[in-house]
Amino acid sequence: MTSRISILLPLLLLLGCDTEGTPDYAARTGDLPTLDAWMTQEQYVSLLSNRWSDEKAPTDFFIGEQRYRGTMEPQGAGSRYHARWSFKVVLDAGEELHGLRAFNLSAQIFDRSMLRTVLGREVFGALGFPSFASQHVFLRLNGRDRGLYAQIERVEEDFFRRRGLPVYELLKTSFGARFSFKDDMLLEKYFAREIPKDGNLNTLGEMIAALDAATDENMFRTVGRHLDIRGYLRYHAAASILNHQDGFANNLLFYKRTPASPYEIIPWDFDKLLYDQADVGLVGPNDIIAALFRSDSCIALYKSEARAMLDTLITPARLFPLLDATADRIGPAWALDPALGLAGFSLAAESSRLKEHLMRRREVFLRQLDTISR
Amino acid sequence: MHYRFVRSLFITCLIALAGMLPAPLLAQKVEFSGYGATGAAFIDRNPVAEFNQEYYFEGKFQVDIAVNKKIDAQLDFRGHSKDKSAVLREFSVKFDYVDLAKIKVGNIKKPFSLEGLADRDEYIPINDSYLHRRVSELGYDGRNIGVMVYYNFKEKKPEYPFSYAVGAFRNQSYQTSVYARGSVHPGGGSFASVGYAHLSRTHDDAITTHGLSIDAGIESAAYTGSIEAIYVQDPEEGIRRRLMGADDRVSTAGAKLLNAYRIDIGGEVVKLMEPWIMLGYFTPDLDVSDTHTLELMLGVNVFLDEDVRARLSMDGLFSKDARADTYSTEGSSFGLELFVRY
Repeated sequence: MTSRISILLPLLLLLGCDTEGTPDYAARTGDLPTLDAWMTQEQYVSLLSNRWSDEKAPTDFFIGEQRYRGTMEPQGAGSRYHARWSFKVVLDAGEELHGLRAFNLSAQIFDRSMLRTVLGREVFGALGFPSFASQHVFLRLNGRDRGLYAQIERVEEDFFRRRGLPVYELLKTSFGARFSFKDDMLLEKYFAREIPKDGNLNTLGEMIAALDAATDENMFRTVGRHLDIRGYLRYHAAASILNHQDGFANNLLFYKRTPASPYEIIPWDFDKLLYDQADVGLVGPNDIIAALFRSDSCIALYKSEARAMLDTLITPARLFPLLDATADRIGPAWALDPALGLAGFSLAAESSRLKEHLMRRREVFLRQLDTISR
Repeated sequence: MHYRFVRSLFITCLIALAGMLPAPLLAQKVEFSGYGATGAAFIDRNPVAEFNQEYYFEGKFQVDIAVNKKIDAQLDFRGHSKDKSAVLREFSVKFDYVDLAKIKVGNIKKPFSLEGLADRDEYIPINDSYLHRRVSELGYDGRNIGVMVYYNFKEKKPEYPFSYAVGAFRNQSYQTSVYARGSVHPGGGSFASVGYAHLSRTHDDAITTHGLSIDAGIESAAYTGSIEAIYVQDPEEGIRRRLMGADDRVSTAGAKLLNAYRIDIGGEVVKLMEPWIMLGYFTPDLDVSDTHTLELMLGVNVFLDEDVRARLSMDGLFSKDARADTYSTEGSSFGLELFVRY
């Protein structure tokens, strides 16, 4: 009798509930797409407890009326230490989401404003660098809000094919990458050849050897054969103005269009742009710029590139409307993000902080650019 | 995709078998077990209605290897039609040198809750309870790599009317956990248990949380009844609260009550019917208990054989936010399944 009552009472309580159907989660984020990802419960639990393993979980993705199928796995390096981390998504053959088959859902853990990727793409894109495609999405995973993510194109074969850009070689760098053979540097420790994926780092080794041996007189003749010096100086100046903390070692990729062409740069991962915990100075530190600055011509080029972008590109008139428009678009999703709006932060305050930092950097460079020397 | 899955499962089984066929088979006793299931689920969830029906098949292939009288090993492969390949779910080694203190090492279940320790082929409902799903997502239930010392009560040894398990685990999300669980078995198929979990995550967003589970139940040929209550601290929400400068102890709790009756039919086709009902409650934050989920699961298992079951299951979820007036039925489902154990 007791067991029957113990069942019946809660049952009556349940049946007495006023109910409605499923909420329309996509409507909460306005124009911003809600990406609803579903995997089996077992895969989901395994994914949560194994973020350092790259185990792929077969996943169904829904945006609006569309379903996409593919796999999802934890992604990133430093972000995996955090409660909020990033994912890599690869859709099945023939499927594309926002034109991308393989992409990262980046948590942008160092960018509370979620605006730095927009800023970086705008600046480096305007300077002529191949720039990864990116848009914001609000991610829900197995019915739980994960938050606002940047859907970021991966730099792989497809990246070049989509742009009609020839590629002979693509190199990725890792944490603490060095560009000098001094102090027993081992190439395999810091670099990976992604295209072709054969581990052959000889041509990179030749560039680094040329950097080590270069002098003021032979810089363009020796290093210039291996590296697009002007393009690199333009990249380095922009990365320095934007205080791109990771932009001098691990967050830049090197590619060659043909076997004979010099390495060019593809900028990568902008969540540490205008990072306010450290300052890279007027010339961000790495072995490449140290070698190039043995040449007075390189120093002059660096200054002229920096001056040009400060005059026409890195200005409030050019960049702030873009940041404001993006903030308006992501606002509703930002407010729902468990680590952003729901954690008590303000997008308006984060956006202002970013803009103020950018203006401070600009003023410092305008004032001190001419003081740069060897 | 189904072809790839079947091929993958087939190759996995072949590899497992091939590795066991040579000479060691003569010295080691090897047993195979597992299950296969196929079914359909109709789910109330937000994605477009046409995708709210799932038709699936899944299987488990388990190999138990008695290396010698004191050492056993186990391999457990699983595959689901949603997956692209079969996966190795568990490898474990059991050392049986001391009867009251067996040792298990491997990717094993963490000894926390009653449902968390149940095998899929022992489930009465088709799906996990909502409470178990949420507690697993928070990291308290599920498998991790670890070492466990334990003893499981055996009816033929009534002089030891208890079970216990103590274990230490580590996962690949920088979480170290320590578990302890004990049960008493006073007789007549009854039991009562208490479990404790200590979870500690290091590196950025480090946090330490605790969990407590209590359960009691009775199991006989005609009836299974159990009640389980769980209290855990939510590490994810705790980190978020800390960001806000608030207390990072977030108390989550839930309970569930399961009753199943077995009716002997003894027919040519249907041997046994097992109607069951499960009621559950879960709140993600005890301080805001107006935000909660009520669960009503109903179903019947029709036994065509001891190892062959046709299953019908309705899982009603009624979730309410403290700020809302009504309950949402999101996540509710209806399922049909044919389940064969071997």
